[in-house]
Amino acid sequence: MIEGTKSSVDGRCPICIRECRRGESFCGRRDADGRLRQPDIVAAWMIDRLFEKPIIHLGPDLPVLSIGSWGCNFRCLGCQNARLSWTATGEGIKIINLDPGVIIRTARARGCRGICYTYNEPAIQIEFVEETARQARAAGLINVFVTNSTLTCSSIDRLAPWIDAVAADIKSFDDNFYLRYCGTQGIIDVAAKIRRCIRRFKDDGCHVEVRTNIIPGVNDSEDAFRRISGWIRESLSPETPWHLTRYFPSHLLGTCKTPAKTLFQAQTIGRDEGLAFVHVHLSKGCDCAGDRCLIREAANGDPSLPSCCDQGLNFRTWSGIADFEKHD
Amino acid sequence: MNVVYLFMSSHAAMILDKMIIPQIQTESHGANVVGLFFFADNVHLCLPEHPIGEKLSVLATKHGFFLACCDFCCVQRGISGCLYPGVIEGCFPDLFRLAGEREVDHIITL
Repeated sequence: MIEGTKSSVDGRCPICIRECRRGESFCGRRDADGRLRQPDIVAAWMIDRLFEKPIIHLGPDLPVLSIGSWGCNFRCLGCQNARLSWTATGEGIKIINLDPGVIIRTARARGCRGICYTYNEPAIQIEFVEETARQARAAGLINVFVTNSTLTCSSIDRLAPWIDAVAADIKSFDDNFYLRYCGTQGIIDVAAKIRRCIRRFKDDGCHVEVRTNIIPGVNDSEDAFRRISGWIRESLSPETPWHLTRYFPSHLLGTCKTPAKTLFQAQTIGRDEGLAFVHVHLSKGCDCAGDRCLIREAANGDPSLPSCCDQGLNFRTWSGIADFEKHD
Repeated sequence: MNVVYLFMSSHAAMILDKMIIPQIQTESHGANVVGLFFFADNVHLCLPEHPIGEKLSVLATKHGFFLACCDFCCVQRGISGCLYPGVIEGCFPDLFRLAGEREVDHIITL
């Protein structure tokens, strides 16, 4: 059993920048005292590689065990893992209670070189991530944290000693974007706090690669590209990788997938702004975008089609520990 | 002098777009380019959607040089099979075969 986190002295949850009041839990993962409910659960897992995170500049493209849970502190309209992330109760999600030691043993048995905390926002179960990452480090595995960059400084300082690499989202410089497309009502200065979070990970010694999912007509202006790439150069470093991922229609946002030329335009701007490594991902929006794309094409672009996550086509959802042990 | 270029670095696209392509177009490059081989993110340059892709395709047809991409890099990026018709997806054996067929003097990595 993993030790929970109490609320801060003023009664607010200290985990993420939403800082919910005592008794409230936007993500649904905290009880009235701020302790983590279902502290050691996994709802989705898959063996893939660092390139998929995307983490390209840490070293070799190692296989990692990617794990995720349910709940999120955002409500992104175009979320591609909405079935996992949009729930505040976990109802209908297949989960399994899992000791971090089992995760690590299984990762090693399957030839994985690390653990990746991803799919939903992993910060909301920081206790589980911290304990698993600590044990993974001791076992010689690396830890990769894929985040929407909404951790408080205290949470970052708590996790950073165990995290090797962070794939950090920066979706926009505009608070209104986050309000409208990510459901950040109640969070003041959200864009600035996200930038501060990414910077803090870097200051704490983590390898950071920044990711922007470009949505047509939403965050695809030249000015937006220049502001983000300029900030990466100035606040992180010119050598910090910037990944440009493609938006694929999903959940409540029916916008068309991002034109390739938009991604290449952003890449050119990023390079013009002085970034050494700007990577375009045409087949990647989130971890299941590639599969989604195929489904859409098969259905002639029918926007009513559920995501691959909904159909269980991408995630190997838990049905029991025996299932976990036998899959590769 | 016959040369083949290998595009490895993240700024190779800029060198190709701003120097090599214009020089080939004006026949002032100073060497006979017989092939271009792309690695890592540079494989995107051979996509129809890429702004440089069309120029490359036209030039390759006109001047008869080969365009080839690292097959692993294409698979990794989910673009295998999506390149311009005639672009080869392969690995070093293909590179050396293509180079050997064209009596290459220099293979230059950018």
